[in-house]
Amino acid sequence: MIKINSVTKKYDDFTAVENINIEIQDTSVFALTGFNGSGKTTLLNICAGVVKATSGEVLLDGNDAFDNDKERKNLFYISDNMFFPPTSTIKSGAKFYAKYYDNFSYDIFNAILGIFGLDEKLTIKSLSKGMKKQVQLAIGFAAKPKYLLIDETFDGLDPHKKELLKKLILEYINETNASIIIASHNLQEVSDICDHVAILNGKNVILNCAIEDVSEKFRKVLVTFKNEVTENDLAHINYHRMKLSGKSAMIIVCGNVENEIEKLEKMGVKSLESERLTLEEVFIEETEAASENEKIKSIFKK
Amino acid sequence: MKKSNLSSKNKNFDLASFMNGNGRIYLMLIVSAFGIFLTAAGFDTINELKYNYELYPAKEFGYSFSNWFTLEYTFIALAAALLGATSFQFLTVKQWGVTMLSFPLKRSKLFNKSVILPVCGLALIVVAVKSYMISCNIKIFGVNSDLIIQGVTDIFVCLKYVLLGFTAFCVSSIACGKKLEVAFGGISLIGIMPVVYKVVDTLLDMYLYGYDSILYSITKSYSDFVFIFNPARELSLTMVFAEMPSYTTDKLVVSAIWIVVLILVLAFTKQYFIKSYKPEKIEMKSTNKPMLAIIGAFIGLTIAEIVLDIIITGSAYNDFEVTSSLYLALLCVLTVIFAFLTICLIETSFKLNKNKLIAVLSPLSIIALILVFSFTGGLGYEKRMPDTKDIKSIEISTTFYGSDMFNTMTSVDLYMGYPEQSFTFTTENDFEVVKEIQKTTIENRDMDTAESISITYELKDGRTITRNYNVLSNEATEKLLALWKTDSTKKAIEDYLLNNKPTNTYPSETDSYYFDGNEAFTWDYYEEPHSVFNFSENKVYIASKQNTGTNVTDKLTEAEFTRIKEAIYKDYCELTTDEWFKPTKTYGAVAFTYNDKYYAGIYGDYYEEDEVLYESDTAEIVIENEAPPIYESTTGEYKFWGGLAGAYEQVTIPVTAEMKNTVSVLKELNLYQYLTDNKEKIDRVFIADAKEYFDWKCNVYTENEMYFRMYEMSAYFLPDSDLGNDIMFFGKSKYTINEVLQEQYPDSDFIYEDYDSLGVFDYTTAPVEEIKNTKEMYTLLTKAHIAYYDEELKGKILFVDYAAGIDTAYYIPA
Repeated sequence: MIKINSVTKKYDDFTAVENINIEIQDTSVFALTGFNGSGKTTLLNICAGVVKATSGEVLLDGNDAFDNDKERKNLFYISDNMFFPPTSTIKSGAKFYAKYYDNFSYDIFNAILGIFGLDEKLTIKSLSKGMKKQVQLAIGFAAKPKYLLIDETFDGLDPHKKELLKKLILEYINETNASIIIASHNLQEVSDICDHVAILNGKNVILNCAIEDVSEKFRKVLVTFKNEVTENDLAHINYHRMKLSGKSAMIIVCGNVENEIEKLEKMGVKSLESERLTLEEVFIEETEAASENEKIKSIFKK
Repeated sequence: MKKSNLSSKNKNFDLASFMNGNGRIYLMLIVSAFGIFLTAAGFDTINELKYNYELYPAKEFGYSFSNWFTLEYTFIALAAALLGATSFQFLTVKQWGVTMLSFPLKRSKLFNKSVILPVCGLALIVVAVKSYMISCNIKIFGVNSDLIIQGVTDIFVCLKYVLLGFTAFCVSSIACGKKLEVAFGGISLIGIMPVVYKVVDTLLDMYLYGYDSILYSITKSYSDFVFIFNPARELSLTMVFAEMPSYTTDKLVVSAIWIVVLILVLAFTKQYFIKSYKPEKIEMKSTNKPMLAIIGAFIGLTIAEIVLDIIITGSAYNDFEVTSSLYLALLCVLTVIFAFLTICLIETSFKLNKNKLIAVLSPLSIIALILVFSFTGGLGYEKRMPDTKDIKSIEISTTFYGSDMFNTMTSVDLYMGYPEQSFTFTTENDFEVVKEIQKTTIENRDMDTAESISITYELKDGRTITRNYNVLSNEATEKLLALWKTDSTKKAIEDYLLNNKPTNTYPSETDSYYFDGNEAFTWDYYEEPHSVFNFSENKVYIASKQNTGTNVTDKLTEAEFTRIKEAIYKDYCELTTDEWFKPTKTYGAVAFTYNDKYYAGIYGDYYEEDEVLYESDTAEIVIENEAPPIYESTTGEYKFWGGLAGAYEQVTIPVTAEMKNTVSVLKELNLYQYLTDNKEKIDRVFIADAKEYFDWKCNVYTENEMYFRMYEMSAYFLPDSDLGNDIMFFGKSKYTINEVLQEQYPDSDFIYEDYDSLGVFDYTTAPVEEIKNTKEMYTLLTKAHIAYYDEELKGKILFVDYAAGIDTAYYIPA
């Protein structure tokens, strides 16, 4: 189990993440998402022991991850841009990593290379971004870590390779009971394979729950009241965002959504429709991206 | 799916993989090994190796004229710097650094892994190359403690450079973010370390021992950037440590201390890397403020000095007058500009920010600090002297007494073997004179004199204050002469003459080898002083001016022998300074020897003529007594430096008319006749026998040449002398001699004059059979010299360095 315990990281005056608390269970694929610069990579760097948290700690099976070679033998970090020695080929690049991981399996590496259709003799320099990512993934799985951290997981991969990767991840989880943290903006892919998700919003975790619970946390309600209502009338409703227009309103309710809907119905409604939000919609709501819509519209109107 | 060659059992050698791992380090170590071997040996020895294997190792340890040891140390530091940069290169590339730090390695292990292979590898190479050279030397010279000490010292010095280069780039890689910053930082650290060392060393000197000028020391070792007396002088930069090329245990200890300090720096860096290193700084602009200060100070000042040097050198041709204030102003302006530009280059931005401010202020503060020290004389410390009432005694030790006064009287022993004399003064009058000397020395510094003085005040409360000045003005030396005839001085002379024992022993078994490769090997043998009066068990010669030495040992009882010594001592005490330097007449000399070796030294040949066998058929002159040169029957050669041995086993006291006590005793003992039995009048001229011009290749040097011979390794540290070449006779009189000889033998080409590789005037191809009468030759040569003296040397002191160390000084009457 990976336990991120009150982790804060500051770069001089800038706070990258603040008081983050997350637990990632074994046999779990955990999605770490958030807008650009929200602190995902910083958090992964801290989990991988590359960067030391300003305060707090990351525990791997109860042991601090930082400068802990024993625990980190079970951890592999596929960073956004993994290093390969200059002039190295796929083969020599793998060897460079294999030296540090006792469990490294060339069989697994070869097999995954085969699935991705890569020739080991190719130089790393000649590979496209997506191909490099495939090599990195192959090395990561071949290291057979208990904890696999993957930054920008689906970046550069074509749809076919994305599907392959998802299958690899699920198969790996099944076989090894590993914990995988995936940092990605690709919410569709994330929702396909992850069982948990955390959304970072600049500094903090604004959502941390199981994927299946995401849709339960928010509900989009389109309601027409019998009489005109004001924001004050809706003050007792727990909503995330609301748009009022006379008797009609679009309300994103959160928390105990069934309870909130019941409160609305009691206010006297002509009609009420509610629909679940996708992870992407939740992300947009949570990261307040939705509020930018009007600004964007106004740019081109000028 | 393509078939893969990879398998879990794949152990085949993969060059790319190897080079991506430690291969780079191995490759650099191999190149370094080759470079160290070449530079340590000297390129010129490679050819020699083909022809004469044994010549090769004699060149090592920096004994050759080429300054190979500097090149070697520079190369080692450079190799170590590159290894340091390579080992920690991962910290200068973001993705590489992140990857390395994400590996299951503790930071301490990662650090060790990056340090141990290159440092230990290079250290092993150094030890291996040097050990090989030591073994080669042992093969030639035999096992000798000096050789071992020198070899071990050299290993330590090399290891110091290994650590210096490596540590500088290790620290820089960890402290800095960008590659360019790491490079500048590493270079600056290497450059700044000797300066810091020198500053600390100088401060310690000043506060603990009172050396006179912090500015002088710093600027001498680094540059003259605040050398306000003559800013255009010696602007060259010293990027490496100023190595004293002599091999002493001091040097071994200093190197060992450096090694320990650098290891501590590495240990501190390791702790920083483990606990405080922030990988997020990789590739970020100027990340470390202290490093910025160092880079700004070193790069800014260095480039500014180089530019100023060019400006000033150029100014010599266009009458551009450089004053101290202008120099300093230019220095400050240029330093600011170059420090600023350096940081701009690192940050790839011209925007003024805090980093650039630090880089600019850093060198300015250093300049300001040094100026404060220079104008306040080390904050006033250098002028401090105790109250007379608090002084119990004062000890003066000065090279002035050692080299000039003693040397004039007692020839080579005191000069060569005991360069400094100590005198302790205990009266208040003397205290005042000594304090005046100190004051005069401070006020009248003359940077061109090589004499030094050390004044140690012993206070009544038990404390001692030592003040050392490495320059002496004429004003100070005049006051020193005033102290010469005090009771304290006489006591010191007595102590010196009676109490020092001749502890020197000449290496007899391997002497020819010692001198064959390099005479510097033997230098340490002669450092112990020995007294005139300790030649008691051996022989006494009376030498006349006619170049004859008469052994009078058997004629003397122990009591008579003591009487002579006491009379000489009494005369020493009674003579005035003028009488010492300018005797009205010299009768001859009393020479004391031990080990049964006598060479008439001052007044005659090295050896007695009647002991020389002359074999015309083989053109060899064999000397039957033990006098040098040593004839090697196996090789048929005369060992050039053999003369040195005898020179240190005898001492000759000139007997002048003013030495009334000595003359009186000699008369009473019927020994005076040996001094006066002159058949020929040759007044106060020291001349070599003609034989020597051929056998010994005329080893008569100008003064500087002699120093060069004596301190062959340390050509950079030639002591300046106030005896200029213009009073050295041989360099100018050689043509006269040649003319005389050519006149005598017009059809012969036996006089072939040349300078050998040492710059020594050299007659090499004389047909010995032509020289039928050495006496005749001697006379001719002598006349030639006298003719020369008459013109040039009257009223001057003639300093003659004769045949490998037999030297003396003469006053030529006006």
